[in-house]
Amino acid sequence: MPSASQIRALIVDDQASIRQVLASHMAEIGFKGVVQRKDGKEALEYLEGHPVHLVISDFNMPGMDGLALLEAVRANPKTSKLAFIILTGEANAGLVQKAVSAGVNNFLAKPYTLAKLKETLEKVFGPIR
Amino acid sequence: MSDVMDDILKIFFEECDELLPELERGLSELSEDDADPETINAIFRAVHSIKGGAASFGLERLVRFAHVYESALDCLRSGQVRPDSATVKTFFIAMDVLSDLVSESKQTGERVDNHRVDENIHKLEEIIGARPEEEPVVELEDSAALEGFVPVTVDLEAFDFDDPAEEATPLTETLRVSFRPHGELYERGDDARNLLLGLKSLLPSEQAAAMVVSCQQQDLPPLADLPVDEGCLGWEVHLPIGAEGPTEADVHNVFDWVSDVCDLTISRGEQPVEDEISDEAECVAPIVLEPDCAKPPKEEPHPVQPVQEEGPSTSPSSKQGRKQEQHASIRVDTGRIGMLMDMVGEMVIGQASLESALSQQGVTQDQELVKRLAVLKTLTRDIQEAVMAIRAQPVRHVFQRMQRVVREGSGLAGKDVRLILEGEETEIDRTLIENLTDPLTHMLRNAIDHGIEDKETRQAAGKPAQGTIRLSARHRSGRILIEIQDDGGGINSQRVLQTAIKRGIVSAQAVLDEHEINELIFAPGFSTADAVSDLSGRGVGMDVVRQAIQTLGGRVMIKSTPGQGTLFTLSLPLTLAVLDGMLIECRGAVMVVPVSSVVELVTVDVKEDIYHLPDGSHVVSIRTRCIPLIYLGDELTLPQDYSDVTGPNHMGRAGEGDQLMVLVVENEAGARAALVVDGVRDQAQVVIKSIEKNYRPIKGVSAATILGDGSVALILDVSTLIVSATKRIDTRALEVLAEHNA
Repeated sequence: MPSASQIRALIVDDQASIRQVLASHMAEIGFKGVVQRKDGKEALEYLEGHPVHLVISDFNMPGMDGLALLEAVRANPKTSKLAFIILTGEANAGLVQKAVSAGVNNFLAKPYTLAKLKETLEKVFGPIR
Repeated sequence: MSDVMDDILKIFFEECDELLPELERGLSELSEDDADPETINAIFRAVHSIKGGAASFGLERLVRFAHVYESALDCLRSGQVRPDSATVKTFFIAMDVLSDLVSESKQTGERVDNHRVDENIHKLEEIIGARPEEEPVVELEDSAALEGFVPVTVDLEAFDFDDPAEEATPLTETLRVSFRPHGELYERGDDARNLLLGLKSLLPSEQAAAMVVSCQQQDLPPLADLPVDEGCLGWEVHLPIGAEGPTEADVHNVFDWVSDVCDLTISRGEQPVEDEISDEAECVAPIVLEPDCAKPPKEEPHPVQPVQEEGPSTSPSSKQGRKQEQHASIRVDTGRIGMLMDMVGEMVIGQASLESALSQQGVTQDQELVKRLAVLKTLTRDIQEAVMAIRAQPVRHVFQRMQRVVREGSGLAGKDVRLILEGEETEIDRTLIENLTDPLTHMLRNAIDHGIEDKETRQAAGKPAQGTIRLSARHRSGRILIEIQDDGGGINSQRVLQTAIKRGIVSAQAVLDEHEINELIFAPGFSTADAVSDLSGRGVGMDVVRQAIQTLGGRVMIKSTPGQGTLFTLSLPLTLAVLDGMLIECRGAVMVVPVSSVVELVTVDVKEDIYHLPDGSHVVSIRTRCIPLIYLGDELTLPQDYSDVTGPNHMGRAGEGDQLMVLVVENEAGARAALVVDGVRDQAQVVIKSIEKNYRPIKGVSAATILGDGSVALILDVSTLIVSATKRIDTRALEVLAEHNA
């Protein structure tokens, strides 16, 4: 059973409050040292030197959005294997479809509960202790 | 709500303060022919972000409204709704509601009326209903979009990362410092935390985050057995060694003064592997050292639980990124800045007193001491400007609020008016900013109500149906000018005069020029609105505006062109703390006249230029213009015997000497008066000290200041002096005299 503290995670969202709420929820689950970036471009820059297991990214961000980030992550052999969860409040069938074909691992709908976050993560990593 | 969530909520509200103006900007850029997808997406994102954040904090009312708003904007985004003017207007009004709901949640605003929320929700729903296909935004949770989607699993074992810490910081070699304080260390009042911070300070700042500290708790007994006078905790610190050190000697230096009361071992080692730390995290607590962190662990009865912001696996570069963000701006209590400003004021005084002491001792210009003092003077001025810059804020915040005033005002008046903002980045003291909102609001409402004509009149006059008001700000010669210009009908002088006569503000016989008539709108109790409208004309009028601006040390000027519009100019000082003053002498007392109100300094001939009026007052003719003459000493009832000056400029009644030195001053209305002074000493920057706060208001005196020699000087209230002098003198007499003179 993987421990949450082993999972290196990166949160990408243009809104600091959303990032912080998510980070504090993840800390409750047991994540350590979750890194935050505010858009796709910054996230890619970070990933360049810092491999992670998990990216949780917002969909609609100024500049490079979540879908473009997902595509870039999958295109790079160094990051192609990581788990990518899209955090979104909108349910746009078109976007969901695009994300699925780009290779998203799971979706997390806003607003979410701690339990829902854990469930979403466990569907990707298996039970987390 | 926990403290952490409280803090995040604050962040959310700060975001709202950024998102709402973004929304407003986006909406203003929106027009039917130019529906830039990026603009529309920015508008959508702003509302979407507010909704998303609000949902995280359970702000139900805000979420409910933002949700409908977002749905309506989604119709715009998908192109199913055109951004015609009616739709954009609805969006603008919805933005105001949204903004009020944010203030409500923030508990800074009043509770928004349910009816208003529902009414606007209804309007937005009409927009949503207008889309051809019924397909409202649904939450992902309930949507069919995810049907059939199976989350893709990831096996953590499959990841084979190179050690990220090594990649990020090529500092493999470390100094391992093992530190175990004895009870005596604490007894002596030393603090383990300071020593750890001392170790941290050995590292260059960009590597400080790479220092790993773990707390050794193995000797910590259960609480019941805890010996209160012994040290039970130890720390192990891994210091990365860079090219510049630190060396073992550096570490010894840090512990130099406590070496007799602690166990200290220093050895060379390798950087601990990240994962080991994570696994040991339950028994060995890594501490992220921040200068503000809690009290020394010794006093903690329980094993220290790590207050962890970022674990050890976080690389220095991410930490750095966050630091940079924090450097962008900091919050400072305005009280502290006020204090700093006061102290700078004292410094200006202190430096002036040094200067005056030097000159008294006859130190001349070429001496070294004077040169050094000049350097200090420059520095003082720089510091003062820097402090003022801290307090300065762009007028943007006030100006953008005015968009809403115009929107609501034009809605109420049934007129189509747009507001153009210019110079929003102009910076001005924050005290001024706070006090500008009300006067500007009132003036804009006036411009909409009385300035801009109705559509039919405008079209008949060949003007565009939409009225335009321009609100601009700029710096000019040490003051800030704010202009409000409308393209309305201008001031109807005849109607203003009639109203003023009707209200008893001027006598029916008064002969006034256009400018003077326009000035009447500033008279207390003046209002020309045919009917008291909702918008303005509530009895409080332009006199309140003028009063408010004058309190800020400013003036209001008016210029109206019939048929073309009216221009109001507010002239404000950059700060309320210092002013450039002219130091004058009068009966031995030194007084300050604000340089901004000085027109000229002239010498007049007592026999030729001064006229006695039957009522006992005097006027002086300066270049064929007759202006009231004020004997400052008499006006302020300064005691005669105070005077020790007997030169040719000695204050006296007209006729005593041949020549008088007069200082011509002007108030914001353009009215002038000539102050008879004994002499002019200097021009200097003076610190304004409230006289009302420290003593009581004195007519003709606006404030006081402290001069270099430590004496108190009064700052003259030029405006009041002019008004009282003008009142005494029949203006017609001046005209007759002027004609006679010419």
